[in-house]
Amino acid sequence: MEIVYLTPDIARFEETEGHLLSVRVREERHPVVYLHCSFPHTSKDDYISVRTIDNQEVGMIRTLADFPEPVQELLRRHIRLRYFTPAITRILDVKDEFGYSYWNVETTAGHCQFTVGRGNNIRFVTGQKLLISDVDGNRFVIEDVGKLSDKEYRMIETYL
Amino acid sequence: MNRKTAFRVMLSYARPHRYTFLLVFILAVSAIFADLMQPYLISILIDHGLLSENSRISQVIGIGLLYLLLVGLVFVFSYWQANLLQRAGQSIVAQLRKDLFRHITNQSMSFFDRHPSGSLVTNVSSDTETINQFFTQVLLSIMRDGMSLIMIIGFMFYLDAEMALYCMILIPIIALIAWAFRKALRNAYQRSRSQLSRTIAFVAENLAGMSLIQAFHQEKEQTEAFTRHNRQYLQETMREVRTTVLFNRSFEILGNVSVALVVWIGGIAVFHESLSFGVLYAFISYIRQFFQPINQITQQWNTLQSTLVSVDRLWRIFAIEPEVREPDEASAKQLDPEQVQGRIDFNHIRFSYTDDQEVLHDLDLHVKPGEFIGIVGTTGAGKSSLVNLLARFYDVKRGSITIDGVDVRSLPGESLHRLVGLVQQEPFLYSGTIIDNVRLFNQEISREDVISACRFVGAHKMIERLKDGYDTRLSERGSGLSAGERQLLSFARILVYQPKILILDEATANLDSHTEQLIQRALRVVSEGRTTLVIAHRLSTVQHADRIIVMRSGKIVEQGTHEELLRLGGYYAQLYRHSRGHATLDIS
Ligand SMILES: Nc1ncnc2c1ncn2[C@@H]1O[C@H](COP(=O)(O)OP(=O)(O)OP(=O)(O)O)[C@@H](O)[C@H]1O
Ligand SMILES: [Mg+2]
Repeated sequence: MEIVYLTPDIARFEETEGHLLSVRVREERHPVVYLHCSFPHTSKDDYISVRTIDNQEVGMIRTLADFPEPVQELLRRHIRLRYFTPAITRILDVKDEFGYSYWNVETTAGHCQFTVGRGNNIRFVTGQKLLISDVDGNRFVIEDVGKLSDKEYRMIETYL
Repeated sequence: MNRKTAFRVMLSYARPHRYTFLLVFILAVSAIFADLMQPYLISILIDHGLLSENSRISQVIGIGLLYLLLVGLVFVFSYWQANLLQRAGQSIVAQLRKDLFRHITNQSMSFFDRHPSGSLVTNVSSDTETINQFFTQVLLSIMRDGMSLIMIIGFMFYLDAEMALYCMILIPIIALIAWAFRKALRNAYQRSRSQLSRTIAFVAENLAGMSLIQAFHQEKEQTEAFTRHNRQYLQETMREVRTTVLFNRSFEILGNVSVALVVWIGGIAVFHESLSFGVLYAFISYIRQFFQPINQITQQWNTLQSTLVSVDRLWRIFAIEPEVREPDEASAKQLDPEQVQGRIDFNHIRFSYTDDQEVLHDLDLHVKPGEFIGIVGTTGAGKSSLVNLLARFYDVKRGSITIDGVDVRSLPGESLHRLVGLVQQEPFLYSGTIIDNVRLFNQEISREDVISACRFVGAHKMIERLKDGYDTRLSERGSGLSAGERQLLSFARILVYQPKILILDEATANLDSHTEQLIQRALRVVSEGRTTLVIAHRLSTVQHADRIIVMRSGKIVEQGTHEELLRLGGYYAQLYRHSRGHATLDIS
């Protein structure tokens, strides 16, 4: 049960024709693997668990920097796909009704409106980084709450 | 601590804000003065501006502007004073809450046995709020309304002493009415409040137990019960409204009667030209304002009463010294975690949670360094109590517990907890991320160590399935994870810290048998060279222990290895046969 660390010598990552990720570790080929970050908020590039479709761990990547640039790029792209979380760049409006809040924001992925339910859906993942999960399970982040304008901060203050 | 000293301590919280309070007082008095100047100004306007022969329009305009200025001043002063007062009140209460919270977190477990956390929350939040009200409302009212009453009387006597004397007759009457209603008002208010909280409690209870209600088809009964509660609340509220209306109206009637009286007596005086019309006008205004402060002050009386109750309750909490006390600097001893052998001696200990019932009776147990001890026994035998004493959640009443010959009471809490690792049936997790919970916020422990510990106990898979991985934030007490998952995390914590003494209290009770095997295997590895105490209901868990302790009603009744105990043919042998399904006797 020791951790198998994947290094460029033993592991070769490739993208399949269907744009899925596959890996060959020594002689064994895993046609489809997924990347799970152990620390998606505090250290995205380190300790990445490479898992098969039935959630078996093939091995762990200690840090992306161990791999040559093109492989890093490929892995990063797949991480981005799995952890798609647009960052909110501007809050236009937040309205509250019957325990739901309706957000109207601009994000790194464009203008977006979404609804957030009651409960633990808005929370800090680090000191300043706020994670917001909407009713459909989409996730948004505000990278640094301290950088919001006063007006924006007042709009979200009650949810913090 | 009696009420007076408690009150004095509370006022000491206000001391840092004494200049603010002084400023508030000055502002309040200025505002009242500016307010009370207004009728006087009008009376001058009437007597010397409008009704006199040689009046000039410029004089009228001048007085008008002055009047406007006064209105503006009242606004500014009141606004300023309210702000300052709120700020002072809130920061007093914030300080109070902070001290209270620190005091509570320093308490030992026995404190929480006696004070359910629900009522503590009420104490911290609502009692401190009442104290805030004292500073922002009661104190203000006594200052403002008291001063304004005095000044009104002053203005009256200044304007016309005889009329003023007549008005003074009113004071006892007003006070009497206010006094009579005060009690009725408070009763009505309290009854409706407590009925409301009963209704809310009923709803909360029902929502929490909804699945049970539906399973037993109790919907109709519960709905009826709710309707009863609700109707009761309506009645109590109506009673409150009736009393309030009655009080307000009788006050108003009294007010109108006194205005009538002033008009009557004053009118006659004006006719006889012993009183000017302007002064009469001012009197009418003052007599109208006369009722307000008296009414306010009597209403604050109730708040004052509840403040006293809150102060009392809070100071009773403040007065409790923690039962388990940190050793003072001089007597504190240190044990080097690297050097510790792990010998544990329970020397003839006696222990009770409450005064009337002893839980452990003269228990004597000596554990060799590195020994693996299994503890079994009936429910309520005192097994958990025994290990809780070692972890020093409580202190023994008699005897002593030592680690390598050092009394646990002379070890600072932090060093004891680094020495003794405990996994409980309901493990305690902190609000924080998973990684923080495993490494207990100690940044020196690397991420890699945490990951391998979690993998070792089989928690890694579960964690990687979470969207936030090791960054997943657990809310208070680790809710969001199952009891078994929480146990895995506390096992990982033990692996990371590798304390010299390991205690597992029903630590695998919430795990499936596959995970339990994982844990058992991990346990065998970590317990190597460590003193280990394992409490288990399942005898198989401790079968291989170096020594098994059998407890019953706070005493050790048998001890020895599995084989020895079986040969003995006593209580353990019975338990064993029972667990194997060959029970011949009923075990309670
Ligand atoms: N916090 C407490 N306050 C008062 N009495 C307590 C408290 N905790 C336990 N007791 C009492 O002390 C006795 C011993 O309890 P203890 O929890 O040590 O038993 P146990 O052997 O661990 O039982 P179990 O096998 O059910 O865990 C019981 O009679 C119990 O009612
Ligand atoms: Mg127990």
